[in-house]
Formats: sequence, structure tokens, C-alpha cells
Amino acid sequence: MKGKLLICLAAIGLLSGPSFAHHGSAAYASSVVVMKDATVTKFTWNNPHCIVMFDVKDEKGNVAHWAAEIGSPPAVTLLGWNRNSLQPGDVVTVYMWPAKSGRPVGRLNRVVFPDGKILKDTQLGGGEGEDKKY
Amino acid sequence: MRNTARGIVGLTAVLFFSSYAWSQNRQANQPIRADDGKTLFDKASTTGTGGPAPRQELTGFWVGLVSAKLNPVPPMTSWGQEQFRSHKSHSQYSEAESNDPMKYCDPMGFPRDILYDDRGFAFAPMPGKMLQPFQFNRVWREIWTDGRALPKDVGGRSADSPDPRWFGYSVGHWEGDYTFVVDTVGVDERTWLDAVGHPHSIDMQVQERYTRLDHNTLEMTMTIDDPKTYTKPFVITNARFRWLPNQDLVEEFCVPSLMQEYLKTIADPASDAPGK
Repeated sequence: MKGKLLICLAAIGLLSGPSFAHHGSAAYASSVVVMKDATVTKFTWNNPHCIVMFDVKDEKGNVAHWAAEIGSPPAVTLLGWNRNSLQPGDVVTVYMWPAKSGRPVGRLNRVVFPDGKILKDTQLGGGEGEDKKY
Repeated sequence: MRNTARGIVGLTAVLFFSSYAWSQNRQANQPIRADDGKTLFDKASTTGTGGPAPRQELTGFWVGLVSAKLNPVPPMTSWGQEQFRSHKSHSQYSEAESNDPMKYCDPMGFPRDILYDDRGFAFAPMPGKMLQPFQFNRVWREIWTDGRALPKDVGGRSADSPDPRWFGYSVGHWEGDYTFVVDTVGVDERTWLDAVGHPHSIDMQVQERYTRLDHNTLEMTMTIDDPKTYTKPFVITNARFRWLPNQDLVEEFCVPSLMQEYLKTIADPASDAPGK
């Protein structure tokens, strides 16, 4: 399990599906995947949703290009994000709900930096006690 | 190991997707909470009363929950049900399948602009009217206070029937010193009441009652009477707003070109939209 692409299901059966502010959850899985050593390639700070683009390699060095959405700038600002929160080249761990379509897109759940800093997406705090599910 | 992991993901995904009731997410916005568990509304709620409410005065920016908490709607008429079925909301359909007007950056209109995205609005009096500017999209609504009557037969067949409007036609008056009452008619049927897609007809009448409890607290009750769509009038929300301490709302627009970029990058692949 030392591959750079490590996919695991977090808290199977305990996670509720994501619910989002402006755009729906219907396209996304109800369980979170974890992607370690994700290299940020682009971060857009736009409405309706900010987008984190990142690359993940598997053991053979094959690179998958992912794009994950978070909330709108005003929404995620309240959670500590700003337009410079992620820079190309940053290596982070990404937790996200992948698309049911199987395409490399998803709804980000949180980003964990090497120093332990965490940036959460809006739906994490959407319900009372939701953080405790992780 | 990778294949094993992917197999687990796939199997589990099938189990979850087949059983998960997405319709349970058929709800409006969630409050947005900061790391310390505070919404902007929460933060604005720590400032106390600010003193007594000034008389017949609402001027300034107010902040609410991201979305007002909505009461259940009463049973719909057959016409209402038909409209509701045609509204494919984000909460039940993928972005590609949805026909939420917001998907196209169409106007939310009234009352969705208050019910769905009330991060902030203002009251700004002008001669003979009160303006109500909204944070989202920096749009505004006008509420006539010069004593005029509401127009009749909006959208009707006669030559002088007024056109329906995204924000309808509104008149307001004070009841006592602290309650501002706004009545609205003539709202374009293309607008949804909320993110779930509840419909309304051109016959809808809406009344908002804004009561300033103290300097920093504003309460609003909204009642909807639309017999063509709902079997009885109902209070859709009792919402509370707080005086925004710095009176500085952030800018937030629905930008069509950025929306297209979002759809192309995220939403369409997520739903595997044809042709994408």
C-alpha cells in the first residue's frame, strides 16, 4: 500500500452524501476517497465554485489529472480559504467524493497539507456534528 | 494492490449508489460555517442589540443565513404538481440534467433571491420607494412607498396588462414604527421559489413583514398565497437577519462565462453529459 495513489474508503456506511450550496450532489458518490501525494496543478478562485486541479501518480508513474470543486469564494472564505491557498506544485492529500460517472472529477471534502493544516470544504460543516463522522 | 483497491471502490460504489436515496438531499442551502463553527450570521449575532430600534428605519446592510429555513409547502394543485415535476433541481438531478435557472445565471428573481441566497441584502430608501439591493449578483428590487396600488392583471391578455417581472411589483408601508409590510404581485412564472424548485403562478401574492426588534435584529415573515399552485396560503419562512457590523458585503456574481467553464470542467464530466 505504498503506492502513491492510495484509494481507500473512509468510514464506510457512516458518511452521508454531500449536500452543496448551489449545485447538486446527485452526480457524486456518497463515500469519500483519499488521494495522497496529490500535486496541485491549478486552483481557480471563481464562482460558482472554486476548482482544485491536481495530478496523482500510480506505482507505475501513470499520471491521472483530476479536478475537484469546492464552494464559492464567499463560502469557503469563511472556512479559511483564500485565492492563494493552493499553488501549483503544492503536494497535499485530497479527500473527495468522486463522480459516479467514473470521470476524474469530484467534490472536494478537504485538503490536508504536509504540516497537518486542513482546509475543509463547505459541506463538511453543513450539519451539526458532521465533522465527527470522520 | 491498485487493482484490488479499485475493485473495492467499484464494488462498494455499486452498493452505495444503488441504495442511496439522493432525494433525501432535496433541500436548500446548508448554512456555511467557518472553522470556529461560526457563520457570518453567527458572527453578526454576537454584537448584542445595538440599542433600541430606530423608528421607521431599516437603512443598511443585513445578513442572514445562507438560505432561509423554509417551512413545508402545502399540497399543490394539479397545475402546481405539473410545474414542480418540470423543475429539475440541483438537489435531485445532476448539473447536466438540471434546469435550475441558476445553471444559466438567469435571474433568481423574487422571492428566491431572499429565500435561497440571503448572505446579505440592504434597504436603501429613495424618494417614494425603498430599494432592496441583494449581495448575490448585486441586483436590486424596488418597493414603492408612495401609496400607489399594486397593478392588476399582470401578464393578462388585455393590451394594457403589465408585463410579468422577475421581481414582480411591490408596494410597502409601515405598520407602527417598527414593521415594514411589503406586498408583491406579478412575478414571472419562470422563477422558482427555492432551490428545490417549488413553483408559483403569475397569480401569486406575497407578503413580507419586516419587524425591527432592536438596532441589530430584523425579523421577516413571508406568506405566499397562490391558489393556482397551492391549496392554501402558507408562511414559507420566518427568517431573522442581523445588522452587518462592517456594512461591507463581499462581491458575488453568477458569471455566465465562468459558469460555462465550471460546467465544462466539473459538472458535465461528473454527470457524463453527452457530447462532453
